[in-house]
Amino acid sequence: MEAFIAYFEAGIVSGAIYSLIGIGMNLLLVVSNVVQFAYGEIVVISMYMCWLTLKATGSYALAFTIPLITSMALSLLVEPLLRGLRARKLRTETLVITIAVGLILTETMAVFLNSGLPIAFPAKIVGGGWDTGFGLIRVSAADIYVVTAAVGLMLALLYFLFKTRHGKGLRAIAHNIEAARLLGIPLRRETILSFLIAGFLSGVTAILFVFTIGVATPELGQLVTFKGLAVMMLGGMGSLKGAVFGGLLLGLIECMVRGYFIGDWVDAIAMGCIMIVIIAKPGGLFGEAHGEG
Amino acid sequence: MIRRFSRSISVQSRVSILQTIDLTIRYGQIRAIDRVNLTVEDDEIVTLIGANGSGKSTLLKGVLGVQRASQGKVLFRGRDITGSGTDRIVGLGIAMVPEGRGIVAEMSVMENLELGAFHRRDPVEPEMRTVLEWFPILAQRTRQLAGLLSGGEQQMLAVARAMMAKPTLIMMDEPSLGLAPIVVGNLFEILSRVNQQGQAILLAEQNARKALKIGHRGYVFDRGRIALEATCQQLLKNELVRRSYLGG
Repeated sequence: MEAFIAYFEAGIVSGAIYSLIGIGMNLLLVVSNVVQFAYGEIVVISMYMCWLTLKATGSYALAFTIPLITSMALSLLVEPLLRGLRARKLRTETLVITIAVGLILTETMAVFLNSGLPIAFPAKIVGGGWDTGFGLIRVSAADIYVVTAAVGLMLALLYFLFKTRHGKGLRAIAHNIEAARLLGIPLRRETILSFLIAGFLSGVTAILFVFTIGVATPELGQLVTFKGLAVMMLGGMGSLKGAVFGGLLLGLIECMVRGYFIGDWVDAIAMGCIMIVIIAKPGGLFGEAHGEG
Repeated sequence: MIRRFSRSISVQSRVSILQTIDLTIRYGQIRAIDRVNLTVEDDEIVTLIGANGSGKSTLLKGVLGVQRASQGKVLFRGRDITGSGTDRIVGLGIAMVPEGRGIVAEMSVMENLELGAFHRRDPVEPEMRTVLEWFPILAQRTRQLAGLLSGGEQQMLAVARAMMAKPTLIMMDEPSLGLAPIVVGNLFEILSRVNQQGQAILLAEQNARKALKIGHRGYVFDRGRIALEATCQQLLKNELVRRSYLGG
């Protein structure tokens, strides 16, 4: 039982980060009709910027601001590349562009940032500085940061989407873009807003990764994107609720497998579960009729 | 009759709400509308009739900046809006009731109404009060998802939503399409009432008889061109119109 609680706690923490990734990618999908394959790469390059800033200045304030700026700036830079294609509803072509951007970012990190070597954050940052608990169950400061940040951001996003004017505009675009256009909702401005929010979410994700895993390589980005896609598939493409539950479920499955199975079965079993869900319910757990076209 | 007479005088002395000058829109090689000259004045319901594909919808989309003009101009209160973005044009005071109603089914009735006022910076409460008073059916269901309304109720919502924009001109694309006759009667009654508050309306409608009955002036579209322009009363008596659009 003690072990189960420990795995459960770990699963919630990594699941919370997966949820954030899934939310960011789903937001771009429903509002801007883009599957952002460079999402994970933007997260990881923000981790690099955090590390470089910390090394150069030693200032924590800067080290946690620069990644947010980096991720928002990169996310915004991707948007104009896709603008013309999105207008013509060429989703496959936008996919190729985001994959290409992801590869370019990965190789840029491998060549220019820290000579392509893995980065590792100082031990006093990773884990958040302290932990507590008994036996196998350990709760670190980083765990608390992650859950607080994830819950806080989700609530903030819900408030934004359901209570504010721009949030309602974004939802109108997501549900019925033709009606939104005829209502005079400025599609370009709202699209840019969705990229800005997704960029902010990936910056926060980067900071949370700094606290929890504390190391990064250029290739980590692809893995992060892959996890995001898995969350989307599991929860339902384009469903924000699905991203929350899909992320938590994926985190829990992974940690349970890691705890109870011997050998490296994590991804095989996690993806196996996703396969079963997709076969049984092709739209994902909370799947809506998004994704056609 | 007196009202109409004074209207035709005032046409000369002030700027029309809407004026298109030789407006031409092409889809590839096809001219969907060809050198269309049309005006809408204050307080007027202008009816566009014509067969399916005769260019009525394209004209409305051209005015709203959804379809680009390949030639000609659109003036809104004397101001050239040709080539402006739809969001800007709506902001200037043209609201659309789209074909098929264009309701956001997944959002509540209240949210749909709020979307109509998306571009407005001034308080929207006065219009919200008016709209809920005029459409009691919507007032009872503000929190319900718009997709759960009946077709007629959705059409009312689309009209109410356009009113929320506090527009100078409301354009409607086939509002009676797919509605039961009794609901259509209801709808046109409301359009008349909206118009009596001084609201200019440009109405594209296949239900020619009803549309001509509530309209002041009308244009008959034929293959992208204006074939005929007259007061609606004259059009209702016109032999060609009777034969082609009113069923004899």
